[in-house]
Amino acid sequence: MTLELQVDAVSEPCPGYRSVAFTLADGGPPPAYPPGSHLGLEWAPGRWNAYSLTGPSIAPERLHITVALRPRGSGGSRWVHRLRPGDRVRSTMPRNGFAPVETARRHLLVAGGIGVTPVLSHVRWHSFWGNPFSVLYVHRPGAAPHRDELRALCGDRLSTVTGRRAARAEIHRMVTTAPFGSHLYSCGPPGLTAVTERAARDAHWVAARIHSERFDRRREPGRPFRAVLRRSGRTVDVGAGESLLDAVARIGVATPSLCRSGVCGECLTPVGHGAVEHRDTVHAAREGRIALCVSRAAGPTLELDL
Amino acid sequence: MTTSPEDLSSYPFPLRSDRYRISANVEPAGVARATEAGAWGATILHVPGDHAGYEDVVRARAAILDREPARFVAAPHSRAACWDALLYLTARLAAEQPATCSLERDGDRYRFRNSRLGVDQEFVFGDGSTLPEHPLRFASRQLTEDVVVLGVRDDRLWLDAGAVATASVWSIGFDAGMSFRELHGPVPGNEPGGVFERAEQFLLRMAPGEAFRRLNWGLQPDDRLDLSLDAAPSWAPAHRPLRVADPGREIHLRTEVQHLVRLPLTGSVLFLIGIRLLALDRIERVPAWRDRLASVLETLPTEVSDYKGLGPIAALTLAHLRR
Amino acid sequence: MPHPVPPYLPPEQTTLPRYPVPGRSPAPHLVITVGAARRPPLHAGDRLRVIEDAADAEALLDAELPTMVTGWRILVTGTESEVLEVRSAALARGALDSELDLRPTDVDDDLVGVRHRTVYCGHCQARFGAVVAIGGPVRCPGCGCGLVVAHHHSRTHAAFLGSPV
Repeated sequence: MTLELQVDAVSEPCPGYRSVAFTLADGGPPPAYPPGSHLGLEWAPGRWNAYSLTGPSIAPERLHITVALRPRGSGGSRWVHRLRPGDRVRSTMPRNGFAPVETARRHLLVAGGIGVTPVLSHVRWHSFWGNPFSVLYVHRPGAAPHRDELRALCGDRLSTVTGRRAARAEIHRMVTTAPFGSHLYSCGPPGLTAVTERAARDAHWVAARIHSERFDRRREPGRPFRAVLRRSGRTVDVGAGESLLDAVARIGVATPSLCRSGVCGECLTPVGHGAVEHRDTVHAAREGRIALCVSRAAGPTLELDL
Repeated sequence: MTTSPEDLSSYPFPLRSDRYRISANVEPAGVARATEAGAWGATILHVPGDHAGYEDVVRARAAILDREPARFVAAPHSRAACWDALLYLTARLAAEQPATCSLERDGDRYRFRNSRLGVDQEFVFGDGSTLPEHPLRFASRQLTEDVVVLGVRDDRLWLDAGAVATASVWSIGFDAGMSFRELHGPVPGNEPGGVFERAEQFLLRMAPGEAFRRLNWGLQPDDRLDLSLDAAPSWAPAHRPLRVADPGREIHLRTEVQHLVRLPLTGSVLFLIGIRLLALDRIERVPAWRDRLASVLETLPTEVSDYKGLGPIAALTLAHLRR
Repeated sequence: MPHPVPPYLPPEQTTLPRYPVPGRSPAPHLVITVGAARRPPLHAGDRLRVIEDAADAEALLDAELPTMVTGWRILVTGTESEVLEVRSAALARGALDSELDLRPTDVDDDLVGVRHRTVYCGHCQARFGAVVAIGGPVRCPGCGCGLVVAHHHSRTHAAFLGSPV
C-alpha cells in the first residue's frame, strides 16, 4: 500500500543535512507508527530509498525525515535536497523493524551520524511514557543534526562524542554499567553498529537485548553466485554487478517486485539451501525469505522457491 | 449469562463445506459474507441492532468482569499497546455505528460517545488519570466481544493484556504472559511447523492497520456464553455427563468469530473473540445449514471431535438432525 | 481454546517445562540455592545467595538486581517447584529466559510422572503444592473443586493448570 505525500516544509538543521516535513496529499491525518519506523520514498520512477521518521509518532501532524546529502550517492539524497513545499511524493506506509522493547527496564540508545534519526523518535516515545533511557550520539565535528533538540529532550541523559576512540570508550562504559534488564539499540554506519554489538557481546549481553539498524552508505557490488530455482527447475548465474531480481527476470522467470530497494517487501521469496547476505530493511531473514532486489547469496549457491 | 436469540439473517454460520478440517481459514475482515439466510461480517465489531440485545450483553459482560477481577489482565509493559487498542476500538465503533457512536479529536484530547450505553467520555491519550479505569478495561465495556492484546517481542506474540468474560474452556488469568503457541495448548496443529506456527508468522507479517478474521466452532448443551475455566463449577456439571431433554432447544452451535488487527502505533495484535450461539431448532430453519452440520458431524475425524470436546454431544446432535 | 486430557502432542512439544543445561557462560552469575539443595560450583565473579524458601526469592531479587548490570546470568538450584518460583520472580523483574540457568534437583526425563508440583486452580486461582502426575486428579484446598492437572504450565504463575473440567 502506498501513500501520496505532499512536502509541507523544508529546512537545514545543519550544513549538509535536509529536513523535510510531509502532509498527506488528501489532507487526512498521517498514520500513527511505532518509533524507529521508516518511510520508503520513490525518488525516481521505480527507485526507492528508506528514510527514518524523526517526528512524534503517536498522533503525528506531519511526517518528518532528515537526510544527509551524499554527493557521490546514487541520487536519492540529492533529490531530497531539491524538494520544495508543494511537491508530491509517493511513499510506502511507515514500516518498522527497530521498535523499543516495552519490557526493557532501561533503554540505551547509540546514534551514529544520520543514525540519530530513528533514535530521535525513540527518545520522543520514552519521554512521553516516562521510560528510563540514555543516549550516546557519535558524530563528526560540525555534523550533528538534531543535537540541540535531543539535548532539550534528554538533558543529561545525552552524551555526545566525536572521534572513534572516544566513541569506543563511551560505548564500553555504557554496556558494562547498564542496569540489569536494559536493552541496547544502535543505529548508524555499519562500523559503529558492529562496534556496539561486539562491545555488548563481550560484556555478556544476550542477543535478545541487542538491536541494530544499519545505515549502509554504499550499495556494494557482490560476488557472483549461482541461484537454483527449485520450482521451475532452472538455474541462473548471478553476476557481481547484477541483482538477483534482474538475473531471474533475465532468464524469463516472472516474479513480483516494486521498489527494487529492499524496502517494500514485494519481491520476498522463500529461501531453501544456501546462506544469505541480507541487505533489506523489511527483515526478510526473520521469515526465511530473501528480498530478491537487494540481497545476495553469502556463499556460492542459493536455492529459491521460484 | 445467556443471550437474546440470534437473528438468523446475520448469523455467521461457520461451516462452508460438508467436511470439516483444521486449517488456518483466515480471510480479510470487514467483508460481507453471504449465507443461505442473509449475510454477516461487513463490520469488525458486532453491535446488534435496537432491541437485539447489545445493551444486555454488554451489561452482562461488565458484571462478570466487575465481579471477578481475574478475568482482566494487563501487564505494565502493555500500557502503550492498550492505549493503541482503545483508540482503534473507539474509532472503529464510530466508523461502524455512526448513528450512535462518535470519536472526536483535538490534539491529544479525545471525546468518545456511545449513546446506546450512555457513554460520553473525554480523555487524554496516554494519561490514565483522565479515564475512570484502565484504558483496555474501559474499551471492553463497549464491546460484545472479548478483547486480548498480543505484544510483539522476539518475533513472537505474547498475551500481554485482555478482558475475557466468555472464554471457551480456558482462563485468561492462567494464560496471562504466555506466547501464542503456549496459550493454544497441546492441540492438533500446534506441533513445530504446524498450523499454529504458520498462523503466528502470518500475524507477524500483517501490516499496521490490516485486519483479518477466522471462525471457530463447537457444540454445547445450553446457551451459556461464559464457559471459562473460572466459571466451570457453574456449567461443567451440566455438560458432563450429558443430560439433554430437548436437543432442539438446548443444544447450541457455539461459533467464535475471531478478529485479528495489527495496531498502528505499537504493532501489537488485537485479538477479538465474539461468541455467537444458535440453537439446533433454529439451525434447522435453514435446510442447507442443517444438512451441512449433520454431514460435518458424520465425517468428523475422532481426533478433531475429541479435541473440540464434542464426543457425546456430536452423536446426540447428529441423531436429532437426522431424525 | 480447550485444554483436553489427554494432549495431542508429545510432552516435549507442550508447555511442560524442560531444563536443557546451557554451557556455562563466562558471564558472572547470581547463584541462588533454595532450601537444602547442594551449592553448585562457583566461578570467579559469581555471587552466591542461599534462601530457605522459594517465597524469599522476590525479596532477594529486589535486593540483588539493582546492584547487577546487564550481562549477568542467574543460576537457580532447588526442587523443580522452587526453581520455577524463583524463575517467575526473575522474569517479572526483567530477566530473559536466555539469562536464566535452571537446575532442578528432583526431575528426570519423565516430564509427566508423579512428583511435587505447584498447581493453579483454574476456578479460584489458588496456588498450592501437591504430589501428583500430569493428568492426575487433585482437590483444590481453596474452593474444594476437583481438578485435573493439565499438560499446561505457566511461567508467570510457576504452576501447572489444575483444570476444573
